[in-house]
Amino acid sequence: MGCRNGEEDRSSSSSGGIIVNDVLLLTSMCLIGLSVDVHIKDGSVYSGIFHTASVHHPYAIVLKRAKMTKKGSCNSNVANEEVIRTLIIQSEDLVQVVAKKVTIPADGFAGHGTGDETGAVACSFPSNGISLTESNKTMTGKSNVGQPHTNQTRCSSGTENGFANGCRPPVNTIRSTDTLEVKDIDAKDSTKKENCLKDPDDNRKYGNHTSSSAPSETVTTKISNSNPTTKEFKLNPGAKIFSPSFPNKRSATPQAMVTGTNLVYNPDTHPSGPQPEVEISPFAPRSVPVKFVPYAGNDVHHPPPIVGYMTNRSQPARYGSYHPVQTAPTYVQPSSQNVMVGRLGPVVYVHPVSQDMVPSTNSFSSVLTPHQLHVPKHQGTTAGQALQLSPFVGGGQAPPYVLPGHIPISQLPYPVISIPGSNGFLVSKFS
Amino acid sequence: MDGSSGGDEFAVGCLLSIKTTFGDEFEGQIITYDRPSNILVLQEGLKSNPQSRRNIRLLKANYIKEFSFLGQSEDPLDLKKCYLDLHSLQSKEDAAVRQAEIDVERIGVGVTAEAQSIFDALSKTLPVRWDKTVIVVMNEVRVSSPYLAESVTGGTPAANERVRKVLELERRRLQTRGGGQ
Repeated sequence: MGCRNGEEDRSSSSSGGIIVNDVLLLTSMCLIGLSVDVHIKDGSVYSGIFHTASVHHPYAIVLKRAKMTKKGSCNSNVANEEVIRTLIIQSEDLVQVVAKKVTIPADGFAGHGTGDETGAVACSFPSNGISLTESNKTMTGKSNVGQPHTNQTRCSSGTENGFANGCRPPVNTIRSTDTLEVKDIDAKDSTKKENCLKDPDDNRKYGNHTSSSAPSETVTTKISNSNPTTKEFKLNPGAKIFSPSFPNKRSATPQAMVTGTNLVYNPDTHPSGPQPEVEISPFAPRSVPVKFVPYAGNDVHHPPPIVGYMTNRSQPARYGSYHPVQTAPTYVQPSSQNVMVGRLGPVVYVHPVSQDMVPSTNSFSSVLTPHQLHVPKHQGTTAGQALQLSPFVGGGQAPPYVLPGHIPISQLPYPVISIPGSNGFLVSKFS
Repeated sequence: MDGSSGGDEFAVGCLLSIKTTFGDEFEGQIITYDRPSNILVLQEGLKSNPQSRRNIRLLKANYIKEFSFLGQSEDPLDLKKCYLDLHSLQSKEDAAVRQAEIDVERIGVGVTAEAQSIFDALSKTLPVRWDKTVIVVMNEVRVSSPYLAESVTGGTPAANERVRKVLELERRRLQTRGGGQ
């Protein structure tokens, strides 16, 4: 009979004040991490993830990511549709907690996979041990500065977390955490874990007494570990956003690039959403594999087969060397075929384009355009070039035109790039 | 609870039909009663299989309007056999919180169902997020109400164009799906 034990418990473990009985403690702990509906005095219902509970006399609970699912008669400080990161429900507001599909781990219970490894931590409720109480003390010492009740209210981001059951002034409720040990923080997940765990630990300690000291030890260590983190968060209450990367975290630039190019070229590839995530890196690799066109090529090089091409990575050097040598006719040709010469800063994006696409000058030039847009930084220099390039490309298609076309183009870039030497070179060469 | 703590308490193992002051009605078996907090812990729905998952209610006893005694059965829990695994609790909560985060981010606040379905559709091909009621695609293109192609703004022309296209496509798809139903 758990209750009896609980009874004794309460009387014996006076260090932490009155503690709820073991069974309540156990069931509370079983609820951790589950989605529960909490009915409030005013009739409203909040759903959230059961985070922890105060096992000291006024039994209160803390929900994570709570949301009001039923509006009560009173107005609360919690907006209806908003998700509350941490919601503390005071004892006096609490009417009912409903959890569905709870498994209470017990011997012979299937579905408790991890049982073995957890041996150390597992607590057997029945026997009242002092060891736990001790660990408990240590804990309180650390985190609570010696108060019997752990009064750590770290509902870090203050008001936001607070829950006022309509009838009560918001602040009170939020503050009233003294009953609670809310070690929670709006922090990030990792710490969160520890935190939530901690609470349970607490509970556990108070409530159970494990016969062996081992469990309690583990618990203690855990606590000590977690404390620092909690502190950190306390310092940094702003750490509100849970940042593990999710869809929206993708960086904008790469995506933009992709889309831009894709649109022009081959929309088909686009759907593969994942690319963008990786940021720039994906691009580089991609473009690289495509052939690097030997720029050095001779003038008349219009090797139709050559698909891809140049990815210059080193920027400054690139322009310098590249233009003089390559801008030359040779170079042009390949570009007309399929590629685009990107000149994004670090990423020169030469997207392999299906050859089919190439033929149409339009597509090519349009490709270039997006590029310019994307790389505002370079625009000073780039813009000039890009512009030049596009016409140039157009010309590029027809071999005959290529040569003439290039010359003017190549010239234009020079001033921008300011490589006098190259200029001279090219000019002379062509002329 | 047991006789040890007084007659006015609830006996563990009792099957009760309870009506709360809020009008809830349910049947459950008492797992425990905690006197200081006045909380009654009940479990429901284990008649079929005690090993199965059960619904648990923690009910403040003072919100019980009336109850009737249905019967008595064995102790629902043998505490000596119960154990908890902190790690799994930890990970369970963690996973739950993560999931909640994900879900929350995907749900627009104050938007119409149509907007949400457009969002969901867009999210299949593009990275999207909500900025209030505006769908932000690829962090640069904004689609605001009423979420038509004309309401696509921002971003590079290419990106913008792309979003428009996808939006139109998805709208069309949604329409046909809606029509089909």
